[in-house]
Amino acid sequence: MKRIESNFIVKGTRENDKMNEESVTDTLARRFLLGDVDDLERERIERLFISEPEINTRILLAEDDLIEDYLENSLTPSDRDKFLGRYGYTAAERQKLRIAKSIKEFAAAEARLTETAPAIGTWRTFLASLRQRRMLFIPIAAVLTLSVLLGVAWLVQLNLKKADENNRRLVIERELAELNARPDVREDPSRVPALILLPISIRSVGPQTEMKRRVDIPVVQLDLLSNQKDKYPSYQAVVRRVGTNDQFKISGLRMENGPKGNFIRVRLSTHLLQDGFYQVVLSPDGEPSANEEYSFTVSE
Amino acid sequence: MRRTSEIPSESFDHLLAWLNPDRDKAAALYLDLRRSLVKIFAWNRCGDPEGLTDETFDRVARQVDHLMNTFEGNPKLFFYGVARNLIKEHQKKAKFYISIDDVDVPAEPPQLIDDEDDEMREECLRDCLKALSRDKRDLILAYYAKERQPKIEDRARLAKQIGVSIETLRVRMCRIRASLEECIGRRLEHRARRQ
Repeated sequence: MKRIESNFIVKGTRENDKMNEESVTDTLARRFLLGDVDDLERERIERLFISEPEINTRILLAEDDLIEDYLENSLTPSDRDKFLGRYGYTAAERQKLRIAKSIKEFAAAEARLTETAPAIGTWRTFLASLRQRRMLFIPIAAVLTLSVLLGVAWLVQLNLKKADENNRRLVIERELAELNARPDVREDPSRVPALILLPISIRSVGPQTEMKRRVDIPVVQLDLLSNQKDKYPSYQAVVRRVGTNDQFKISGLRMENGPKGNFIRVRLSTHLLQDGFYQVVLSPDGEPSANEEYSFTVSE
Repeated sequence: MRRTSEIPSESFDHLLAWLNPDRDKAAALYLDLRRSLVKIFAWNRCGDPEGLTDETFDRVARQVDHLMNTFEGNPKLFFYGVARNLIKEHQKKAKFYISIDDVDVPAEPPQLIDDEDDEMREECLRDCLKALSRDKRDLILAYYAKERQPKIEDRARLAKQIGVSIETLRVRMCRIRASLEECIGRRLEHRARRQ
C-alpha cells in the first residue's frame, strides 16, 4: 500500500511542472464535472484541483454554474441525466443541492418583496406629510394608513400568488416539453401506456375514453389521430381539465404515421393528472384556428 | 458520515507542520485540503466522502514523521495519491458487492429535491444569513435574485456597483455561499441530533 502511494507521488512530483503548464478551461471543467472525461484526464484535473488554487477556484465556479443551470432547468436532457447521476448520488451532494435551491428561492422571494418596497415608501412619504397637518387630520390619516397598508398587503399577496401560479405553470410546461422532446421514453412501451384518441368531430357516440391513474406508471402517452389532410411542420396541444384553471400547452409536436393513420404523440406525466374530464385542443403551431378537439376522463 | 479521527494530537501537529511551518497558514491549508478531498470523493461517487477524507488524513498521519524527512514536492499531492488509492478500494468494493448480490436495480432517478424539511432548511438559512455581515447578506441575496438572462444583466450591474470584475464577484459569491452552506449544514445536523 505504502509503496503504491509512494510510486504515485514520485510520478506526480516528476510530472508536476509539466502538469502546471496545462490549464483547465471552463468547458473542460464542466465536462469533468459531468463525468465526460476519461480516467487519465480526470486524475490530471483532480491533481490540479488539489494543488493549484486558481484551478481549484475555476472548477468550483464551474460547479456553481452547473448547479444553477440545473436548478433553473437550463441543462439539456442529456446533461441533466449526467448531472443527476453525479450530484444526486451522495446524501451530502443532495443536501448541497437542496440548500442551493433554498438560497435561490429565498433570494428571489426577497427580491420580489423589495420590488414592492418603493410603493410602500411613497405611501410613507404621503402619510408623513399628513402627520404635519392639524390634529384634526390624525384620525383620517390613521384610517387612510390602515387602508393603504391593507391594500398594499393584499396587492403583495395577490402578486405573489400570481407569480407562484405562473411559475408553477412554466415549470409544468418545461417538464412536458422535455418529456415530449426525449426520444428514449418510447423505448419501453410497458412503462408508457398509450391511449388512442379520435377527434370529437368524427368520433361516433359511445363511451368516453377513460384513463386509470396508477402510481407505478409515471408517464402516459396520448396518440391523437388526425383527420386533417394538410400536414404542418409542428403542432401544439393544449390540455385542459374542464371546469378548472388547470391548463398546459405543449409545443413542437410532430405528426407521425401509424397503422391507424396520421397521429400526434403527446406524453404527459401522470402526477399532473387529476380525476376529471380533460379536453385536448390540437392545432398547428402558429395557426390556432385550424384545430381538432379530443377528450378523455381520468379516474383512480 | 464524519467519524472521530484516529490521529494522535502529536501526529496531527506534525501533519500541520508538514503542510506549512506557520501554524495559522497550515490550519487554513488543512481546511482547504479537507474540502477539496471531500469534493473529489463525492465526484467519484464514494458513499461517504467525509469518512474517506478522515481516513486519508489518518493514513497520511501514520507516515508523516517519515514523510517530513524524505518527501519532496507539494504535500497536497501525497494526500491526493492516498485519496486516489482509497477511491480505487471503494470502487472495487462496490463492484464486488454488486457481483455477489447480482441484483438488478431498477434505474430510478434519485429523489433530489423533496419538500420534506423545507421549512427547517429555510429557518436555518435565515439564521445563517443573520450571522453574515449586512454587506455580505445583501450581496448574496442580490446575486441570486434573478434567473437566466436577467440574472446575467443583474450580476454585471452588481459587479459594476461594487467596483469589481464579474470574475471577482463570482469568486466572492462562491466563498460566501460555501460558508452559508456549511453553516446551514451544521445547523441542520445539530437539529437532527436534538430530535
